[in-house]
Amino acid sequence: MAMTNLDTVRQAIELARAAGADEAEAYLARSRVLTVEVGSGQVETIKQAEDLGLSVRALVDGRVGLSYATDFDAASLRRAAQRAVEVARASDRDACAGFAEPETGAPAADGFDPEMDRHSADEKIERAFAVERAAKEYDARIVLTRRVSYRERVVTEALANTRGIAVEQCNNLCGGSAMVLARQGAEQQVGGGMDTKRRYAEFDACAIGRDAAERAVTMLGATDVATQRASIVLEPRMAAAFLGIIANLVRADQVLKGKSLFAGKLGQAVAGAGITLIDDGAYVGAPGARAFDDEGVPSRRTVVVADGVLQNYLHTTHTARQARAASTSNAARASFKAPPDVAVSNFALQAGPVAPADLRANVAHGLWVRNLMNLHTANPISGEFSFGANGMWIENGKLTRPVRGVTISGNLTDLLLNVRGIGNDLEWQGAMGLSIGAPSLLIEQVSIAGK
Amino acid sequence: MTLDPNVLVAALNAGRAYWGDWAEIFAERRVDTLVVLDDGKLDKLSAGEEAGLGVRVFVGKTAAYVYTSDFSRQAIVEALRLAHVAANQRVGQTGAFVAALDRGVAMRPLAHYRIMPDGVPLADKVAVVRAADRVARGAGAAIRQVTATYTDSIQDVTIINSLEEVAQDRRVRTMFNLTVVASENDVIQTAFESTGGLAGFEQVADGVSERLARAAAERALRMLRAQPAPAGVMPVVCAAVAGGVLVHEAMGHGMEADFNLPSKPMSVFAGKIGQPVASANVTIVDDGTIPGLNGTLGCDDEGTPAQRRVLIENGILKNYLHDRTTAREMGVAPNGSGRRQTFRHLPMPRMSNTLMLPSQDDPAAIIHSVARGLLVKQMGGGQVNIVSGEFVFKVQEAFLIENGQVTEPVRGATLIGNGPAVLKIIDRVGNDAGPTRIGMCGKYEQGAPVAHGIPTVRVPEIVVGGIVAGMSETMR
Ligand SMILES: [Zn+2]
Repeated sequence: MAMTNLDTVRQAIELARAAGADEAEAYLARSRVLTVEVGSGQVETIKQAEDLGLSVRALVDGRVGLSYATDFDAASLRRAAQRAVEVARASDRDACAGFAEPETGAPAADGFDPEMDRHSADEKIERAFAVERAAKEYDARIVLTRRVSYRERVVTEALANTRGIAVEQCNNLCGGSAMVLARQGAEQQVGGGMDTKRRYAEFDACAIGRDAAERAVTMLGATDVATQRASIVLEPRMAAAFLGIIANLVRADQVLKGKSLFAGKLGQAVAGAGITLIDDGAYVGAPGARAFDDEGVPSRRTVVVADGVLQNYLHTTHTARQARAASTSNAARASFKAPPDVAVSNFALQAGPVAPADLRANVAHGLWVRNLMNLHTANPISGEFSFGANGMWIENGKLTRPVRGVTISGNLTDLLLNVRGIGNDLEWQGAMGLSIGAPSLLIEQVSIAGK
Repeated sequence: MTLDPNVLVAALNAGRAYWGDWAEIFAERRVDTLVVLDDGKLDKLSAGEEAGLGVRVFVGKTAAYVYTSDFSRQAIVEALRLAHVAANQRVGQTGAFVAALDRGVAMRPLAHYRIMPDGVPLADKVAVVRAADRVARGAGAAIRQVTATYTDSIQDVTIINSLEEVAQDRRVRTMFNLTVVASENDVIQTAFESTGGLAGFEQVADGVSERLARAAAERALRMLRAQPAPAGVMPVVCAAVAGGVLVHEAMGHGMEADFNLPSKPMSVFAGKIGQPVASANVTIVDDGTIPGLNGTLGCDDEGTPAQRRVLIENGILKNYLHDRTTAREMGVAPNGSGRRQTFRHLPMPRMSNTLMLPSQDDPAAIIHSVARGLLVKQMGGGQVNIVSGEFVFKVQEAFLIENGQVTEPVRGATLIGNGPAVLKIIDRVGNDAGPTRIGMCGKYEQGAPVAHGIPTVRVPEIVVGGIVAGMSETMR
């Protein structure tokens, strides 16, 4: 009889014990992907696959080691188990090392949508064509499209450990993307659109194409601005990108290592009044939803910041033991080859009361930010940042002209404390197991460098 | 599981009915080791093996790709069948696949490594990061955090196709990097150093990691005393030691042929072969053959031998970086730039080792020529918009130049500009060649190890984004 996924992970932990592990954990991921890319009304590439990976973590004498395999026959599993034990022996002893304990109570639901599999590949190719058509029909100045795609992914994960956890879940996502180019005379501008949904029925191909086209066309004729201090309004997508940096500051591992400017700030105001940040892997409305995290801990809701005050950090089993706290179900593996690390699941800045246009209406001069570059270079400890930005200039509450080639810089702490308005337009951006939601944000006193 | 070309050829032949216009198998096996020391303790330690193969079938201009970790003949034939079905869903124009390397040539793997990392005990790899941690922490009381990472990988690839071409390559890579954080009186500074290449354990052994740790720690301490960088437009001198991030980001990506196809001219360099695109003193090459460098390959991931490509010669645009697909569309030979992150990815044109070549200016004279500007000694990360040419780079280490003299260190500088515009106004190019620096280049979610380097270069006018402290008035 064929082995189930749970049989395989159970076998792997037994092999690790046989190889000398005191405790063991095995994680298996089996994914099915379909990606269609189209251009000029033709299919350019179709990619489909079933991908496998399994990793074993062994705990030997208080030390942890990890190894992995892409073949699940007994010999490969045994080699991975033995290697995990060898690696553990070379590692440092860690009093907080160990695997998650099983929890009682009803497990959270996984986010599998059977609808996605009921539709043919032909139809999905057609959705990719629809993205491209929508972009081209938006404006005569759209001359090219690139990387116009439909993509979907179904991932089955199984996890077992010697503490008694043995769980399995299946999640799927679909989405699309487009890069389009607008040309006017010698000038060209690019715009990008992308969306990811848990439910096939919610995926709107035309909206992706139109969004990409609108962004490219609007940037035509962009110039820079004078260096100054002014307000910025981040559109939801950019607010989410910015929140991605904040997501790293609330990771308990970073805090414990002194690598976050939020270290030691529990109970203190770290953001403007009205800002509430919540992580909730059990929220099935967003792409990061899951039944359990990558250590098998059931998903839950954690209030990270309430009305500007820092309430909680996000934990794995390991950081929770270090901090004498409980896991918040935020263990995530970058791939089956990587050990679990702290990461957000569905992390959102809760929407406010203000329509986005009203946020801009209060700005005398400032920048409506629609693209940021170099976000990865913000310093998480000092909070210093300097990002490339473009968007539209706001003068007396009105959008006036496109702006490009400026940098916005300052300190993350000041930026968070200077949030003066929160939009009612929350949007989710994300991928499987990790998504970020944010509304538009009005931030005052930001330094903008141009000419 | 096997990378034996004969076995793969037999499977490809068994699936002959599904070749379409052209079919290819890319098979890969890799063994990786990762050691991360963080906060004084080993934080991540792993070693493992993965293997898989990707089957690509072309029908007309449509490429279908199916990958699997199952190396059995049935699985390979099934992958070919699935790819063939997929490629036929919508068929573009048909046309024979002509751009090809020499038939039946098997590449010999480059033997640049001296010490195979798989023979080195894990304890010795751990010792590399521990030594770096010790040295960095010993550099001063203000050193707060050290993160040191060691990785090695042995990647074996076999590429066969329906043109009866067979290529094999072995890429042994060893890499070390560290990030040091120093803080004093509420000022926090981070410094980074790295080394890596197509090389064995010797790349990081014999005190290399200690030397880099000392350099990073000393820089972090030095930058603690730095003033915030000025903002505005000013001349910038990039020292040869700064590395070629500027060349890689602001110029190199725009030379990748998939951005320059006549049917899809995205890049500002599209259609400009033979035309002046840079100052006459600018020559840029991308060279995948330099022994031991991080971007070096025996052959690319489509089996084309690695080559030296002149991209810009004395200011004239000469070549793009091609994979087979772009080469076919543009009617040229592929030039060894088809790279993929793993067997799970389709190849695309990528850089290897991208270098701006030295010209005739004296580096000291270049600095003396600046009345007030910035000297960049080390770059941080960067990003580029291919279509508009806009780039942003973070600067790790910079100094003010005042009246031709290098004076104060400054922190937090960002360079923002337009790649093609900068290429045209570069007015001094030094006669010195700097050391290459390494990077992990990202493009469409695929990473590729690369290297880059420059001589001392002066850009007479570039926007520096610093921190505009305490200003409420508009200034120019
Ligand atoms: Zn790159």
